[in-house]
Amino acid sequence: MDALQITNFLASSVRMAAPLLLASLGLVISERAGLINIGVEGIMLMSAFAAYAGSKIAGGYWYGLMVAMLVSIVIISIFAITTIKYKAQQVIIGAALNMFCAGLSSFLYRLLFYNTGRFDDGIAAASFPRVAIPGLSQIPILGPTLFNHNVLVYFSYIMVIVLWVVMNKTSVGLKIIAAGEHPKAADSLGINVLKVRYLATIFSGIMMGMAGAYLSIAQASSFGEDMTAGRGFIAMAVVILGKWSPIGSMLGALFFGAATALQLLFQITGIEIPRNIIMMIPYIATVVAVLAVSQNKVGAPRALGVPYEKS
Amino acid sequence: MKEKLISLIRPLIAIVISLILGALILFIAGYDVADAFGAIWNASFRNLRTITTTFNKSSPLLFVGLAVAISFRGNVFNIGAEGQLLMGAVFATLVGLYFTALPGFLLIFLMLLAGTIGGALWAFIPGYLKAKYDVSEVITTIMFNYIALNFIGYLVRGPIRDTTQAEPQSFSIARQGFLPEMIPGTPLHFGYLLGVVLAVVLFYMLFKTYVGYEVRAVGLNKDAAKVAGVNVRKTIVGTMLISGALAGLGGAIELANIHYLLEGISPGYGFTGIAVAILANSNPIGVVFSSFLFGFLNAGATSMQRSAGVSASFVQIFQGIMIIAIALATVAKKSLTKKIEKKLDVKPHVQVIEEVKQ
Repeated sequence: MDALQITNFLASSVRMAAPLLLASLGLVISERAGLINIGVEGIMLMSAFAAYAGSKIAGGYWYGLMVAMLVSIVIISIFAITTIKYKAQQVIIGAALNMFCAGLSSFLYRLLFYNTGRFDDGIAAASFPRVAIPGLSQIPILGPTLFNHNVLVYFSYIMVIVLWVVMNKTSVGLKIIAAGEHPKAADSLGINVLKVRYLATIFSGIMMGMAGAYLSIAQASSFGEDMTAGRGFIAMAVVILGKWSPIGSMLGALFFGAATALQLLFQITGIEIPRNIIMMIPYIATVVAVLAVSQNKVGAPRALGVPYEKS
Repeated sequence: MKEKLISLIRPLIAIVISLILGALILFIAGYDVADAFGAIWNASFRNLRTITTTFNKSSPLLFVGLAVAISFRGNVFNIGAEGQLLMGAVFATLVGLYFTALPGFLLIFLMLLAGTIGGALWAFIPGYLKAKYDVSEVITTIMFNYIALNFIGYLVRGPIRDTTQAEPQSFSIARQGFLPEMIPGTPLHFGYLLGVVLAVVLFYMLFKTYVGYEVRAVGLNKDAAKVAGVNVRKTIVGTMLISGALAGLGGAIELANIHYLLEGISPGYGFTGIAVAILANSNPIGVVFSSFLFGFLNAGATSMQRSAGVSASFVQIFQGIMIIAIALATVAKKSLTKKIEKKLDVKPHVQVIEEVKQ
């Protein structure tokens, strides 16, 4: 293996990590506020479709991104209202949303882009181009790894810093943590727990929308049924692995990005392992990672998944 | 009796709501609603053959529905019935491919046994990790779904691939391992009957035996169950084992029904199983009926796609809406009981009813 192969591996790790990072940053905030949302998988899938449709119909990737975020907000509102207001079981609503979104995305895909048995005039939609950062991208190995990506990748790392500051240095962060740790105490201090949870959930929806858009109009320029392939669920594992912190999530996402990029590495180096066995790696890594941190659960919000009822 | 009738109202309301919303979506998308729904109905209830086909399609849903129902009763979120069903099918395939010298009855028995073990094994690991290390079963069971699916992909592309077929699939199992028909000349097989029997057994176990009491006690309140002397860890693992065994058995039966292994052996049965269990309020007897409803929808979906041009994935939309509707109906009922509670000041009694019904 030479320097070029290493560079390729590292760069694709960062690329594969980006959708996981975007989604997990959203999840960090909503889980910190006390909500567990396995619907992230479906919401990402639906956003991936919305981004594709928006980009293809309106003719621009920024439109695609906007449509994805809007659709994501609408769908996550269903989650927010049913679980926060009506206190329905969060895992069940999440599972329902996954089915709903899987169905709706392929239903609409076929309705809009699948006429008379053939896909409309070409499948590709406008997608985010790579933007090399002048100077920095010239550094050997490090440059292509970190400074030659599309804007969503850069944005995700900016968000890591922003969210770290918000969670650790501002009263907003304190309110979110209080709502997820000890809602009753938070309430007695005058924090509107339900409002905090609503806003945290909506924010996570925006991030999931971006993560979904990344899959269809940044990493690719097309949509495929079930194209998330479990990435939403892996993002949940990233949050656990990162101990519910933005920086931890970044490291976790990079770890899983690398696990996924291993596939490419195996192909390049020509090691003969059946494709399906290689494709198991990220999923097995998830189980191992979640098990590894299970003994040291510092950071898990105490009221995670528990609806708050004002007494 | 009156209580029982009232408990039927909730799923009925949910079904009606999802029918209305489903029709609305079809209408907005520009389809002929009557045409689409008519196609679903016709696909199932035209004649004896289509009716028995619907039962055939309900069979895997019946088993995964029971699997999810028991896990929900024990408050274990087994989202992995899909993977357990797949592993059941894998184990059954291997027996069906390599024990070809056995007579039919014995071979089928061994295939189903192997499938049951395969499913149980696949559920045991997440169950054990939850009980021993407090690892969320939601994440692990989901991951195990993907691992199982890729394992099948590996098998049918590699070691057991039938190279005479264009699509990756395994060789056919031994002829005498095919499931016998219950009504000759129709697709209704004895596996379905076994599922109905198991539903009754499970109902009895859950509500009339000490083991069932333990499962429900842990499901209702772990800490209280512990105080009452229930071994919580053992019960969690046990619940997962039974759940996985049921899903695995369903997979083995489905395999013996279609005779060879392929990646698409389950179009998401395990996930539909969640809807099946929730619609039945996790009651095993109720699962028999709700699994038939979803089998009917699945069977109809393909014909709806053919004759009305509506994508078969519409059924998934429908399922999602239905679960949300039921979840909301549950909450609505709770707040209603609370209001009555306040008015009549009968808290203890109502609470007891609530707990028993849960």
